[in-house]
Amino acid sequence: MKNASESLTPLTEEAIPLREIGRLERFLGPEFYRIFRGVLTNPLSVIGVGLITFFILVAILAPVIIPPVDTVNPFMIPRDGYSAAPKPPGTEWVRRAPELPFWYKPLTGKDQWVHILGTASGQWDIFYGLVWGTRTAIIVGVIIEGVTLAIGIIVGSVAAFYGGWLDEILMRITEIFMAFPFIFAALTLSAVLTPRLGKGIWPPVIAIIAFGWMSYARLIRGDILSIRERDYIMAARVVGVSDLRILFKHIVPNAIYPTLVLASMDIGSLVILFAALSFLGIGTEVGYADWGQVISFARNFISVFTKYWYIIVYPGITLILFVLGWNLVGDALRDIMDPKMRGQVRR
Amino acid sequence: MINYIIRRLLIMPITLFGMTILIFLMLWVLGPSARSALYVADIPKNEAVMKGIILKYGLDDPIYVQYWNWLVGRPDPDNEGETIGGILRGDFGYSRSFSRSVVEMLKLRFPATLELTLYAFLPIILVGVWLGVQAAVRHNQWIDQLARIFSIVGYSFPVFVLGILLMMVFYAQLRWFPVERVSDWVKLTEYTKYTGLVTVDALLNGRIDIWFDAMRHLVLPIITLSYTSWAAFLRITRSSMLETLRQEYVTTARAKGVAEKDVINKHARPNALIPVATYSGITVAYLLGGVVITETIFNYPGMGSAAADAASRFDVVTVLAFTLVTGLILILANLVVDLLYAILDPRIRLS
Repeated sequence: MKNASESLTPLTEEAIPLREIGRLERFLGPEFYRIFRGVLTNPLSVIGVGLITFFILVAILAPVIIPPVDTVNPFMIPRDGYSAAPKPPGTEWVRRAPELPFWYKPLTGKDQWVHILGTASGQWDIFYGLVWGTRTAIIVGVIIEGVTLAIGIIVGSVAAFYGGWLDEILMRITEIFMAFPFIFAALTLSAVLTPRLGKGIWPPVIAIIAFGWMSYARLIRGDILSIRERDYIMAARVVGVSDLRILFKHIVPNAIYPTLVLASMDIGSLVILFAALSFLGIGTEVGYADWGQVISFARNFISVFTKYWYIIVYPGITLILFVLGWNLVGDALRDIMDPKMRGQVRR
Repeated sequence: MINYIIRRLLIMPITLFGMTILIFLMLWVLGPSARSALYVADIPKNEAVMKGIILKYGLDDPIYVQYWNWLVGRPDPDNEGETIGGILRGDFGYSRSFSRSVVEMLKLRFPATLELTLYAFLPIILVGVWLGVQAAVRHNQWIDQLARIFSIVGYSFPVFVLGILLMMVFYAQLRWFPVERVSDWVKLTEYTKYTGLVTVDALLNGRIDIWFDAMRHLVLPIITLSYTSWAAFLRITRSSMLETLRQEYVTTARAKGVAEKDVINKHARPNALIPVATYSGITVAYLLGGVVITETIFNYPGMGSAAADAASRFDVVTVLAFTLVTGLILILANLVVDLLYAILDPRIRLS
């Protein structure tokens, strides 16, 4: 009788298709590695990542791109005079020009600041507003997203984990916050807070957070409800792990990472909401470098498009590219993480 | 279905109650002197007068007393036996930034906003659904590609940027579409105002010229208000229809020889529309919020521009009233959507 092992193919490396697991994949873990690869292999989301990176760089490098004029409050847009009519791109900067950064002379060949993108009505420099506005946008976006997510995760996970009447109460509260049209509610709260906190980014930021956490809470609640019934949670209970530890160590990490990644892509639209409130005159003071202000300058001087196009086109392009960047990555992520699409996405 | 509707109707008062509490808490944050606008039209001149008013109207009473007074009114200290205030009585106090009572402002501004949102909403429902279904049925053909491009562009174009662009091109430059609600000559014209909706009133009066003028004023605000919703609606309808078309029962219908037209219209579409119904509730919410920006850009005298004006002058009593009313409209709209949902979804309808 022949030995059984001889009739079978020996288990060599060729017999088992082994996949190289790179250092990156080991570091990120299989799920994140898949997301990471998915984002970087889809041309549209690569463009999105590029755009987001660009804006983050501009935000970080703002003082190098255009040095602040008012060093105490660098977020104030410098104004070159007070006349109402905007001046076209390339106009010489007469009053309160910033220092020349190192890149300026080699790139433009001039040794005087000009208004690169023109000035808005009231002679606010558009370029300065957009560059420093990017800094405001990123800061505001990260703060709002971070806090809304945190509130959403806490409310959603507590509601789902404890269930019963606590769940019922928390979900009713969520519904009440959702009952108002968002902009009306945010407008109201900013108007309430501004006299208390003074003009600045905080009233609109707090208002957006206060009326923005609900969808995350609901989403995370749903995810956790499905995880809660798994066997390993039961096992943890049997071993005697405390409720909070089960919730935040075992359930939340398994339930919410996908939501977390997707939600982070909302930064784009949150920044636009902030800009919208500031455009409406709620929040930051006139001349503060945020995109809503720059656009409201254009609103103050509605005039013939062919002559004054630059007061809306440059700010408009900036905002569109910003939103587009987040949307492109967000779309790709949604496809990658949608369980129904899983089989169709190249790994 | 009855159970579902009853449960739905039972939740509503709770939500309404919660809304009033939330609104009142915001009033509470304001402090007693700002709350004086609930009862007194003028801003009190000095500390002593202010103190008198606070005392007179009980503006430093315990919070639950004040909430109750705010909700149902309190005895008027000036007129024996009369009641003053009370949002349930329709008294929202005084709008100091518009120098009239808040209720007057609401009555004045509500029809304009209703008109704008109706014209924005109906085409989305009627044409948007049809287009979305077409895009799904003709998956990857030109209509689908067009819908896709439109929805990507629509998603990424901030409302206020588009509004100002449209205004600079079509109002300032080409002078095709004016801003505000009607031209000056219409304001001076006498005609019976049955509904407050200019376009409807114009037709009821048989005044085509007024109707045309009002429509011209509405074009840009409608586009600005609704294009994002168009984009979103197309996307939702399209993906929902695509998913339904992939279901096995659709394949079964095709396999047993049902005509393609019936497969789409009778088998697939009704089911595909269920998520669309839910989304139309979100669209109403979105449009109601969107009026704030749109009306402000175009100087359109509706609730949105009034709220933005009042908010930028920190006239909180006015903004709160507008927020409460839009919230109420939204709740009613959502109720309609949920009832519609019950009718559309056989799982609920037959339960």
